[in-house]
Amino acid sequence: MSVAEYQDRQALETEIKDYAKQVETLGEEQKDHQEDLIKVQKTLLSFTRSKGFDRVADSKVIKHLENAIATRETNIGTCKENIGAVKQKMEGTQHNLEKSLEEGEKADREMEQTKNSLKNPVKGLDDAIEQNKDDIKHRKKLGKKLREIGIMAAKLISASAIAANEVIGVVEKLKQIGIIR
Amino acid sequence: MNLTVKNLVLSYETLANQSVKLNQSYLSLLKVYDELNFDISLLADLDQAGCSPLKVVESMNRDQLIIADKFTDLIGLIANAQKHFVSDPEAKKLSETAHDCLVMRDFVKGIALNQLQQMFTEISLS
Repeated sequence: MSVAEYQDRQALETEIKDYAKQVETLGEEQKDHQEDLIKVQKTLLSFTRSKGFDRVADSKVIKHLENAIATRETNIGTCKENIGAVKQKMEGTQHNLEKSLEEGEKADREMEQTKNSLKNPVKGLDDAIEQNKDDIKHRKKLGKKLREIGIMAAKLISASAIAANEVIGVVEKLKQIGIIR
Repeated sequence: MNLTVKNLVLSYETLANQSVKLNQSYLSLLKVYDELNFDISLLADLDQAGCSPLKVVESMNRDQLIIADKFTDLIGLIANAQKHFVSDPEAKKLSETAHDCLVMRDFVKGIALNQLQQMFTEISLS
């Protein structure tokens, strides 16, 4: 090895050491968002739990359903309007759910592609892929139920008369998926 | 294996690990989005409690850029080291690590944080 080569290599070694330190610090910085994320998750959990049994997950939806039940016999037009409002709300929810489903599926493709392209496997990627596939399945199930609710509501809106148990049917379906508790 | 090469590989592994963690956070936030989609009033409750998912996305955005940049730096360092270590096992390890750096940099860049940010913003306005 010539003197120049030796010096070159020494410089490289110093650079690599400095770089390793920078990468370590980066890990510390990332902890900030991870801690904030855990705080969001914990707070969310405490809200949905602490409000307990009486917690109305979506107060607007429950109000419309109550109105629909109250006006079913006396004013079918108002009753249908309220069911229509619930239907519209659920369509919005379904639309948003489709977006997160689409994002989840995109992430699945990205992760699978990464896994297959790597020469050496990366720790934690397999678990993330598996977990995400479960989440995708769950979203698909919810989407199916939301569509069923939409169909039920549409049927009620076009009917000449609405039976009490038909509105209750919508309420039960909404309870099943956790829109109302 | 030469110690310098080992150190490079170690840095790669640390960075790859951080990439997977960032991706994990992204997937968790997608689930937070699902919960808020079912009950948007929770978003205001979260803001009041001083923890906003949008803020988390913003700091993840910064991490994403930094990690991608660090992979670029690492690719440069490996290219430099490849001039010094031309025989195996070092040469093979460096070439594999350089390849994986490119794959992981694409992976990190592909985490759809901007899309998620937009989704949270849209839901908060609805």
